[in-house]
Amino acid sequence: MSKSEFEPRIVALLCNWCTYTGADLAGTARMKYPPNVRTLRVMCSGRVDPAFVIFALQNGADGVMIGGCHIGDCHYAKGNYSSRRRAVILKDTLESLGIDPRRFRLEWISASEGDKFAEVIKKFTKELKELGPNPLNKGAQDA
Amino acid sequence: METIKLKINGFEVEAYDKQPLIEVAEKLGIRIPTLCHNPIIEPYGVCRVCTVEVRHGRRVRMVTACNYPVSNGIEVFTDSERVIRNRKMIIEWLLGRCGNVPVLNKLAEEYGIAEPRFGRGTDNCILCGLCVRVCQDIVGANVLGFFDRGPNRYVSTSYDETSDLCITCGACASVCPTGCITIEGLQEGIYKEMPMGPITPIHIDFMQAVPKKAVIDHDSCINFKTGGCKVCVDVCEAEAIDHSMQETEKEVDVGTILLSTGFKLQDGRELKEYGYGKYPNILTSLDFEVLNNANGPTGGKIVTQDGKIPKAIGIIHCVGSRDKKYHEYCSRVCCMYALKFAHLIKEKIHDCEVYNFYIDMRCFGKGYEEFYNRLLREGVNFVRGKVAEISDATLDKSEEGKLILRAEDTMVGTVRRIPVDMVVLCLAVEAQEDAKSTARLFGCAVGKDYFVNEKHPKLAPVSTPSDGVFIAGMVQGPKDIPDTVAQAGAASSAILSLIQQKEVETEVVTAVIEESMCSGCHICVDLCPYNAITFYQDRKKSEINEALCKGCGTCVAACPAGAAQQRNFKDVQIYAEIRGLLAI
Amino acid sequence: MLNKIRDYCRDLLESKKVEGILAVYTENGNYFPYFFTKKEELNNLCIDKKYLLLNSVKPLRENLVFLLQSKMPGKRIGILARGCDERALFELSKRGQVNLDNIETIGYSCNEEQAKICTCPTPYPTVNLKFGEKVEGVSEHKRWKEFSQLDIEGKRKFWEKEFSKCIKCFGCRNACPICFCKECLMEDRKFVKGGELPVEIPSFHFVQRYHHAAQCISCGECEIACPMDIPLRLISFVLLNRVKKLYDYTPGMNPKQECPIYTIKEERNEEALDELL
Repeated sequence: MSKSEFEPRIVALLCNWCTYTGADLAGTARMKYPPNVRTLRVMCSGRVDPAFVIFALQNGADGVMIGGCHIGDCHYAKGNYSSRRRAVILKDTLESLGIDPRRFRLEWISASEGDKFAEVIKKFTKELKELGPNPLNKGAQDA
Repeated sequence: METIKLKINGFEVEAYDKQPLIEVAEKLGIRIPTLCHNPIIEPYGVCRVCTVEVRHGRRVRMVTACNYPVSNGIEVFTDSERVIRNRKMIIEWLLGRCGNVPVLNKLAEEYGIAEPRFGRGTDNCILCGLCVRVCQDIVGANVLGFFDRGPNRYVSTSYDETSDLCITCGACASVCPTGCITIEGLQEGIYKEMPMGPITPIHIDFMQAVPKKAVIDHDSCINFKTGGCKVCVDVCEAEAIDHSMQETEKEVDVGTILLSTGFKLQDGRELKEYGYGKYPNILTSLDFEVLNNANGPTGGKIVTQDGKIPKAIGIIHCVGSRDKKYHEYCSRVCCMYALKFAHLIKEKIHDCEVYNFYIDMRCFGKGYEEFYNRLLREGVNFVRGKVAEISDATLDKSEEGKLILRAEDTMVGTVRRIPVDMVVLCLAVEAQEDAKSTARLFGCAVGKDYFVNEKHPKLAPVSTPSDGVFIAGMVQGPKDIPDTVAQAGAASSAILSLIQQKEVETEVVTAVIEESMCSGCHICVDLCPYNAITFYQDRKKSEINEALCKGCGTCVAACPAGAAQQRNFKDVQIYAEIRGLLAI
Repeated sequence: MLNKIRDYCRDLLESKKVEGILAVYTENGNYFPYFFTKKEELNNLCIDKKYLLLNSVKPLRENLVFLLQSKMPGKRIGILARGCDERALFELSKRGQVNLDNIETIGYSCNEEQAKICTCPTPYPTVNLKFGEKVEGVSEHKRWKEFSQLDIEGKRKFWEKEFSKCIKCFGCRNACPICFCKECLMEDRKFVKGGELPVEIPSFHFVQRYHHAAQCISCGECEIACPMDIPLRLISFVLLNRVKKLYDYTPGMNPKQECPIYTIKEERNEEALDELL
């Protein structure tokens, strides 16, 4: 598979109240964004255990995104605060483990920002295409 | 208070002991002329016009009625020959000082004084001191005083200089019996601050106000400036006025909340090209509504600021809405109220030309399109095009004082220039300034226009993501009255059904801690935003109160041992989901 | 120093200030943790052998101090503590695994040589130092120079080489004083496969590193325990530096300071976080 044909696989862990609804809005508003994203609903971005991220990266995802409400808008008051604190440490961990931290993103997308969701996915897909396949994923490399 | 009996002009009357005589007479309907008496100010007896004759036994006295305290058994004559003679003399003396004061001339006429014996003075002030006393005793500003003495006595400010202490309350001018004190530029000043006409500090906000009670405007009430006045307190028989009242916070326990905080109209000054606030006779839709109201300042007459009946009125639709510079959304209500305005103008002023400048007419409801068609027949002008600017750039004399609208008529394909007398701007409805923080307070989110988001646009239009918090009206987005009423009805029945149930359903996706796996690190306790987790020191275990848990799962993600798990979002389920997503 | 410590401990035992003292016992070249209750035994007390006393007892997953405290509730227990022992005590007390109120900490410092062996940045107890001097610690991992020059791809290859040596002995976890979970994610079959070698890279080793990002007390036990000499603490050093920079927090320095990752009660340095994302 040549690099130009490479289609990254993105796992997006989305908060039920903001980003998941935002993604829904992007859909109902017929916005175009790459089909590379596979969404997974959690109740809050604070539910995302960093182990999920590493698990996804380990098992064939080229990029992982966590989507949450904007800081201060969390449906559960403070869930996205703890999500952000974890994400910062996770980025450092990924980097020192030799995984490009750009493969992991934490984005604040509110329920009304369908356009932002589409935009972020577009940008992320483009960036991952430039980064190439995730070296952790042996299968993708061989193919 | 002791009641006594006295006779006035032969009528027996009851009064309180030491009540001022003028009050007693007034009660009987007997008018005693006076210049220096004002019921809100302590009587002072300086103009002497109220002189009457009092007989007590054999004793006969001439006294001033305004400050004479009545006593038992006196007999008063207010228009005996002696009184008339005396009063005539007093008026003549006053005319000798102030010969051109209308009130005095009127009195003179009443008492048959053709030409006063002491000539006519040119002063206007009778030195009654009402202004000085009102300024000192009532307002408490202490600006005015008497200066010099004898025939040179006059009322002025200290050193005859403009005083900083003066708060321009106008009390001196309003009590002056001779009209000697005036305020320069009063009319212009009032209209500059209150374009819809003067409002007293105490007023009822609007006729439909609920509760319909008078309020005191903190900014213009004299008491809040000088600590004086309080005339209203003396006058109010219900003793309902208390200036010392403070805003208080009350805590009320409720189970459900309906958010219905409404909207605000966009500030017209944001659109410089329309000159709102710069030119006269440019009104917002709310201004026009007040002007047109039968309870409004003009009694429902549509007039320009100088009191003329307008011959042409321009109504501009979509000001600030459907405009990417301000608000992209449609404000939804403007088309219909603009049509209503046009109709009302036509009804009140038949020959008035009404111009509606619109982008499209959005007459979306039952009977709305029919109303639009009716207006077309009524001769209202519709110009499809946005007004580019409003100016006072007149071409000739006939246009003087008019506002010139320039707009492209896209139906005809030309740029039109239309002079009108009045412009109504249909400004965009906006979310309240604090909508975001208010929404946050109730655990709701706002959209990009700061209107509060409903839980689901189709399936849960009155609920919010927070259980027990509902929304109705413009707080959720622009909507007209029928829609608001419908939404409010839906919200209140949703609330009622919650109250009726007497119990609430708790969250399904709560977190639970598997006790055998919990090592008692209480990481979860500090992370819980709802304080739903308790750490039991004796057992060294944490436990989640499922009634408090809202199911965010932050504790689950943080639990290093995996002892905490969220129902329907267990770790194993999410791993399986990720596996499914990645097809492994 | 040894004699001074023995004298001090004898005094403590004689005056009945403590029920006993937890320290290292040595006999015939063997050494093991021991709870000294009789003053005669103190002749066998030793301080030159490293044994992290707070290390959890497998498979109970509870540490000695906790076990002692639950055996004799309310009694005062002495502990002869190095810097790492004290830091472990503080961190464990924050996580509810020991009760600091009934503990008499007798702190003594390590020398530079010992610090070098453990790669210890603070080879002395910061609060309860009673014996010895504060010596300069080692603030850089011995393989940091080599590691820090690598780019992302280089780092990945580095770890691929290092982690593939792993024989899944769980020594790093078992030796860690902060590891006290009853169920460990490293053994979770949902997360990593069991009974297979080489391990899953990097998930298997990620777990412990990440969980201890703001809790690692830099005792060096994991690396000492590792039979395959995997430089696990390279990652811990990076994370600890980040936590220090962001929140001015070093684990084990102050028993009152809350771990910033595990609390959302207060907002600290929140704007700086966004820039890092």
